[in-house]
Amino acid sequence: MNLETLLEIQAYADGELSSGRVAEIERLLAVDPRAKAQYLELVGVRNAIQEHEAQTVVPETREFFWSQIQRRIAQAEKAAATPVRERYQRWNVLRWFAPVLALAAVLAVVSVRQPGVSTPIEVTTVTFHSDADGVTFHWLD
Amino acid sequence: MPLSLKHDYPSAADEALVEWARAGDTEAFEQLVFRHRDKIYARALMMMRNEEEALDLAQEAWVKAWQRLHQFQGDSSFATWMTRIVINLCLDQIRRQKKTRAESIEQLEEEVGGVEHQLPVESANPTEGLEKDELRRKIDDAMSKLTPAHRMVVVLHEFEGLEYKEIAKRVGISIGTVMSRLFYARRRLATLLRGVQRERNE
Repeated sequence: MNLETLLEIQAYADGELSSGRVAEIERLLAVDPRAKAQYLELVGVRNAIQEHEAQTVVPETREFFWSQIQRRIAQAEKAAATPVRERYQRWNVLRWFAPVLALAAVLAVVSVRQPGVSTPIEVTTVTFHSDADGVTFHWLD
Repeated sequence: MPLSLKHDYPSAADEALVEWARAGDTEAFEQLVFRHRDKIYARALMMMRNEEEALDLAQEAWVKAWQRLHQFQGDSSFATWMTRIVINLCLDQIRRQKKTRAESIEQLEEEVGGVEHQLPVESANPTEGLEKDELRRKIDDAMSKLTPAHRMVVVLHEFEGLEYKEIAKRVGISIGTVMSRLFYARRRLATLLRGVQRERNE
């Protein structure tokens, strides 16, 4: 039997075989003991699984389980309630430091790659930011 | 969350609890959690086979349910609606895990049925003669030996009662793949259960 026939037997067992193929598969099951055995095996396994689902319970007390859900709901509601303006302001602060950190990282890589340089380069940075002008300056010494 | 109104929660129907919960009654929602938590957790555990992940996803499902209570139309039971939420979360999680994990040759073979379909059918009913509790344990154990992709199809078909085309749509695979995965999984389960019978007979 090829895989296609086996899948048709399974579809027949599950009641999902197209009506045009039902008679053919029923004929096969009537004359071929291997096909019949395969059919019975599929039905036997399916029924066993459906009728013997594991009896599982939450491994936590009702109160503890519920408290965790409550905490998560509160967190989600808090996040949803945070005003966009506040989130933007937080991001604005981060924007201040991001260029400084990037520069520091570049300088660190350059200093490591410089041949013959045995002592680390000391770098001092001063940053100025103007919201009104929308500019940020970094001075490196 | 707003304070709840007092109702007779334990004896109220799911539909009434949903209505009250929609109005912000957390005690009504807690009652729903209490009633259905084991089934939701069981479904997550069956899909993920990991207690920690299953607990996390089950809780996430309840949070999602709280947030989407207004979407519950009552076309199906509340339990069915909840099960759908937790299964979708499990499917997303399995997809994420699959992306980060290289598929082994064995798993790829299983996608198309591997060699299982060539194995002889030795016994018509591989579960014959096994006690109910023993069978339950053995089936659960055998389920854990399936790959997540195969187990997913078995859970959706055997426990959720979904048709091939519904499974294909929800998992994002072809109907042919659903059929071959289901066939492979059943044959593998039959082989594993037959092993149990042999152990008993020896």
